[in-house]
Amino acid sequence: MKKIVIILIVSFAFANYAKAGFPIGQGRWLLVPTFTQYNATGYWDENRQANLYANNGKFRSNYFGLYGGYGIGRDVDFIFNFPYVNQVFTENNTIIEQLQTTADASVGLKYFLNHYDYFKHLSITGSILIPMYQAQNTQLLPGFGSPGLEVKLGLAGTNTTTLKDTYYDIEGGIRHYFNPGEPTQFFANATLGTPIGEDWKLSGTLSGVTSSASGSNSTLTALVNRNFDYLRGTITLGRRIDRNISLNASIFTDFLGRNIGQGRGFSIFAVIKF
Amino acid sequence: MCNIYKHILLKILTVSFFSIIICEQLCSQNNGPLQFSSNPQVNRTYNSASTSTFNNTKGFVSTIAKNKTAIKTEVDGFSSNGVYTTKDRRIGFVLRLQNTLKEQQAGNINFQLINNAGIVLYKEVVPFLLNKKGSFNKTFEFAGGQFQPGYYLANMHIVSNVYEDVAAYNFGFEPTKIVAKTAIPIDFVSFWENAKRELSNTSPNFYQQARPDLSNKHSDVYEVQFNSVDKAVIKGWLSVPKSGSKNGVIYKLGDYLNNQAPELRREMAVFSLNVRGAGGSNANYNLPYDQYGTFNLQDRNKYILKGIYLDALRGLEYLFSNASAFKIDSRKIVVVGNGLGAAAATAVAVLDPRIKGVVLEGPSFVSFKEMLNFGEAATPTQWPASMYKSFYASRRMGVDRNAMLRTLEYFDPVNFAPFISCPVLVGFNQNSTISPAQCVYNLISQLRVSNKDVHISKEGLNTLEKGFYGLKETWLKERLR
Repeated sequence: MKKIVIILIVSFAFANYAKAGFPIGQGRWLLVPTFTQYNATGYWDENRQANLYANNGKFRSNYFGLYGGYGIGRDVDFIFNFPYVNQVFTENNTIIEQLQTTADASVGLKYFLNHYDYFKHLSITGSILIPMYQAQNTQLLPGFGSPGLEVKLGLAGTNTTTLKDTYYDIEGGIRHYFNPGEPTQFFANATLGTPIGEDWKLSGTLSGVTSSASGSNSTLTALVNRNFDYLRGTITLGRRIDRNISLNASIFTDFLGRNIGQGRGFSIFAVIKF
Repeated sequence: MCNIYKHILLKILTVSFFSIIICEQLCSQNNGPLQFSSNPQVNRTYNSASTSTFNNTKGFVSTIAKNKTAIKTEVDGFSSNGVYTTKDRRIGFVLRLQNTLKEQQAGNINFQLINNAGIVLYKEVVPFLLNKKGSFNKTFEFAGGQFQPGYYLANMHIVSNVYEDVAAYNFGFEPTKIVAKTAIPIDFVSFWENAKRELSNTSPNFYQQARPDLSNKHSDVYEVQFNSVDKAVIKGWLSVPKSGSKNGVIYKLGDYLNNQAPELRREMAVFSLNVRGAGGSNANYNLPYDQYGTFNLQDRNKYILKGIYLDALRGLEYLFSNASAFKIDSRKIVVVGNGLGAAAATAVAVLDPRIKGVVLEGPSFVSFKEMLNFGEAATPTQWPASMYKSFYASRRMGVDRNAMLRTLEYFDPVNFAPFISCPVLVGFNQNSTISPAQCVYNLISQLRVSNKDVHISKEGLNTLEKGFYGLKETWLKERLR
C-alpha cells in the first residue's frame, strides 16, 4: 500500500479547548461538544519540504469530540475526552482509504498546585489514553492502538493590569504510549484571548507537537506515522449566549511541519457549564 | 601660644574620642533575649489622636512631632510577615534611627511591649546619641517561651532634643491557636429573641420603585424602602439580572456610615442596604461621625448597633418576601458584610440561618475588649477605640469602661460566631489598626462551622489584597450559581 503522509493524532490535535486551564468550579460540570474538519492536499516531507499529494490526493478528517469535566473540589477537576472520526483519503476523487471509528479516549485528573490570587492558576494534569478501536493496518488509524499516559503543566489566568481583562492559557506536556516501539510526544499550546464588548471573545492559539519513536512496533499498525512534528496557528471567535452557554468557531492552519500533512480547517464548538 | 593650641586640640581630640566610645556603645545595642517583667501592669496611655503615617511594611510609625523629618525611623521584624511560631528561634525586631540633621541629637526610646489585655509585659528606657547624619540601631529580641498565642504591640516613644515620634511593631505569636476569652451574657439569646419580636411587631411597609435611569440592558435597578424598629426608615438598592429564571443574591451590608450605591451584575442579583444613619437612611439618624457608633450606648435596648443589626435582618426579610416577584432564588442568598457591615452580617447569619453563606470582609467592631485594649495602648489611640474611650471617659449616664464593655457584649460578633451554621469566608489585614488581628482571630476561633475559609492580607494597613477579592469571587460563584 502506498504510504500517505497525513496527520495522525487527530484525537489530540483537535481536543484543545481554549481556557481548559481554568478551574471548572466545585460541583459544576463542563461540556464542550466539538466538530472539526481538517483538510490536507499536501504534506511536509522528512526534510520539511512542502509537497502536494500525487494524483490530486486529498485527505479529510471529520472529528466529533466531547471534551468535559467535573469540579470535584476547588483544587481538583475530573476531565475526559471522547472522540469519533470519519476520515477519507482520495486521489482523483476516488476513495483510496476510508475509516470511521472512535479514537483515543482520555480520562484524567487536573490538580491546581496554586491559585495565586485567584486570577491565575497553576495546574498539573495526568490523563490515561485509551484506544477505542481495533488495531488494524491502515494509515488512517487515529491512534497507535496503544494505551498511554499524558502529563502536562498548565498556567492560565486573567490579566488585571497590563493588557487588562485579556486572558491566557499556556500548557506543555508529554505523552507516552506504552506498547513497544510506540512514540513519545512533546506538546505545547499557548492561547491569548481578549473580550470584545460584553458578549464576544477573540483568541489566538499557537500549538505544536513533536513525536518520535524508535525500534520496531506492532505490525498491525506499522503504516501509522510515528515520527513527525508540526506547528499550528488557530484563531477562535466566541459569543456568550447566556450565563451557561457560549458558541465558538475557529479556523486553523499548519504552517510548519516534518513528515506530516499540511492541513487547515475549521472547528465549531459549544462551551456548556451547569 | 602654640602650646595653648596644642592643649585645646588635645582636649577636642579627647572629648571626640570618648564621644566615639560612648556612641559606639549607644549606637548599636544588641542585648541577649529579653525577659518579661515579673510584675506586669495594665497600660492606659491617653494621647490625643493625630495624623498617622505608614512608611514601611514592617512597622507602623505615627507622627506626633513638630519636626517630622529630624529622625528617620525603620522597624525591621525578624519575621517577614509579622507572625511567629514555636519554631522561630528569634522573636523581635530591630529599630533603626537615622539622624537627618547636621547636628547631634540625644534622647530616649521609651519602649513598652503590651499584650492584648493591655498589660505591659516589658518596658525599658533606652538612651541614644545620634551624631550628625549618624545612625543608631537597637535590637529588641524576646525569649520565645514566654509568649502565649496572641498579638502583641511593641510601642516605642522616641524623644530627642528636637524630635518626638512613635514607632510600633505589631506581631502575632501562633495566631491560629488563639482562643477567645468570651463572655457571652447569660441573657444573650433571650435579648435577641425579644429584639426579633420587636422587629416582627413593627410593620415593614416594604416598598420599591423601579429606577430605569440606573438600570442597564442586563439588569433592572429598584430603590427599596421599609420600616424598622424605632421608627427608622431604611433604604437600599436592588439590582436584578433581566435574563435567567432564578438568580442568586449578594446581600451587601456596608461599612461604618458608608453610603451604598447600586451594584449591577449580569449573573446575580445584588441588594445593597444602607442601615440607619447611612446614605438615604439618615432621616431620623443624622449623627456626627464620631458619635454614631456610641449613640445610646448607655442602654443596650436603645444602642444603635441593636437597630443596625435589626435593619439588616429586615433587609433579609425583604428578600425572602419578594423572591418570586424579582426572580430571586431564596435558597441562594449570601450576606457580604464590610467593616461594621461584617459585624451586622454575623448577627444576621444567626438570627436568620436560612442564608447560603456569609462573607466577613475586614470585620471591625469585633472583640470590643481587645479592640479597646490595643487601641488605647497605641499612640495615638486608634479609631474606633478612641470613640469608645471618649464615651466612657465622659462618664455619660454614669457608664464607666466596664459597664460599657458589658453592654457591648450583646453586640460582639465573637458572641454570635458559635451560633453561625452556614459557610463563612473571612478576609482581614493582619496589620489593621481599625480591627486588630487579635480581635479577628478571636472571632475565627469561635466559629464552630467546619466550612470556613480565611484569607489574611499581609501588606498595607486597612486594605485587603487582590488575592482576597479573587477568592471571594470564586467563593460567591460556588454558592450562587
